[in-house]
Amino acid sequence: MVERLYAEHHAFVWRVAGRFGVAPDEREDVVQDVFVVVYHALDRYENRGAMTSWLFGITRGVSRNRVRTQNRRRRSLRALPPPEAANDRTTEDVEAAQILERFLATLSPNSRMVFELAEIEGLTGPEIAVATKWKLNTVYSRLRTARRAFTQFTRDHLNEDRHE
Amino acid sequence: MNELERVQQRWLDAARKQQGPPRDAVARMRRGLVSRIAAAEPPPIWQAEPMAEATPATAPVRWGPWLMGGGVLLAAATVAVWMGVRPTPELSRAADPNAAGYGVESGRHQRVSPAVQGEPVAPRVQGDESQGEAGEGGVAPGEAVPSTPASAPGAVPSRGGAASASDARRSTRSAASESDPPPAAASAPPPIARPSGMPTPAEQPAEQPGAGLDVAGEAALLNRVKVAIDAEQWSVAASRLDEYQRRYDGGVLAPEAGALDVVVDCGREAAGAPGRARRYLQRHPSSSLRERVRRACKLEP
Repeated sequence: MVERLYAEHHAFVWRVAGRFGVAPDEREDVVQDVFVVVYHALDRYENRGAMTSWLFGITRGVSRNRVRTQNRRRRSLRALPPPEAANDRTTEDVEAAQILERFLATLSPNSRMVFELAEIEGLTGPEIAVATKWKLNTVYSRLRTARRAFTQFTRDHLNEDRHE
Repeated sequence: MNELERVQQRWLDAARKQQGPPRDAVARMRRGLVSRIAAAEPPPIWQAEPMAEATPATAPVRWGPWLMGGGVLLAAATVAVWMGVRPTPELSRAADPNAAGYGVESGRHQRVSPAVQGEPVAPRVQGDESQGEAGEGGVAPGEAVPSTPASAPGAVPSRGGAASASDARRSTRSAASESDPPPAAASAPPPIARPSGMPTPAEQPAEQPGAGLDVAGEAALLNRVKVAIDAEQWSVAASRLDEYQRRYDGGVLAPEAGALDVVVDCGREAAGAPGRARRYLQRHPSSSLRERVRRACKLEP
């Protein structure tokens, strides 16, 4: 069961851990930690709510615990190179992701979280509300605002491309 | 799908891919997960915290306690003015169970002699207001302050006997352990809260610092440190050592963890690593990891 969950959701957990500030070289451990917690708590889950909402809550807790001690360790590891370079990404992918990152940087942290969970992770509004413990109306309001901004950002980008 | 939507979808797909784990990490994490579960490793310590703005700004203000407290204060002040005495000393003293042994004369407190204690005294009207104010003064602010994470619902209390177990373990701690001193929260370990989606508040088997011996868990974690060292993944090894320190500070395998810490430092050629290695070898002449430390730090036998 845990193996199946890992196969389905490891990338989601990895990305969420990154959004909570876990450094790349620590994300492997955080992902493992999350699924070890899942393994021990699975019999109490009882299929309440979406699995992604539940995983989001666990990942948030594990990540914050890890980030608290991360900075101390950074002092001594600052000189180290990154643990591994991504070798399965094209230049176009990297550029496209950088463009999106420029847009995400314009959002408030909460709007960004809602937008990423909805548009990148594919969570529904109610699932996001359960995961974040925000009101559903708040989630929808932030999502609407972020989507409007995304449309405007994309239009501006396309117009710039045409003028160049 | 128009051009705008196509572009947006392309950006989102790229971000999903870019933010995801590298292929080799996926296989590595899966192997690690399987080995940790096979080793019956306990779940790590983690805390569930509400997201920022979990309580929206539009939450209704609870006026009741404030209005009630204000009303009682007003009544107390009115009675105090009517009595012509300063309320504060009386209010504080009236709550004293031994207040009957005190008298008031010209605003000064005088101990009444036992001989006159039986004599009738003037009725102490202030006592009623004092109790009312004391009660309300404590209630209103307390109602207004939200609960902290440490007292959040869902937090699991520490297991019984944790303090004594912690003391016992600390006494066995090696003086040469390279780890930091135990955190200040050791006596009151951080709560192990549960996520919102977890249905039952039953006891979670996660351990806490000082919550008892777990040699198997210590050994499993140090084994993962060795795996990372063998793969020369120094930052991963350091991260796992940090986790060891967090979970098993002062554990029975602390000297071994100290040795591996030195090995990691030497492996990444950290400043002062050879000195630490020499100190470790001096303090642990019979350590089974002496050769490993010596090799990693290129010290003469």
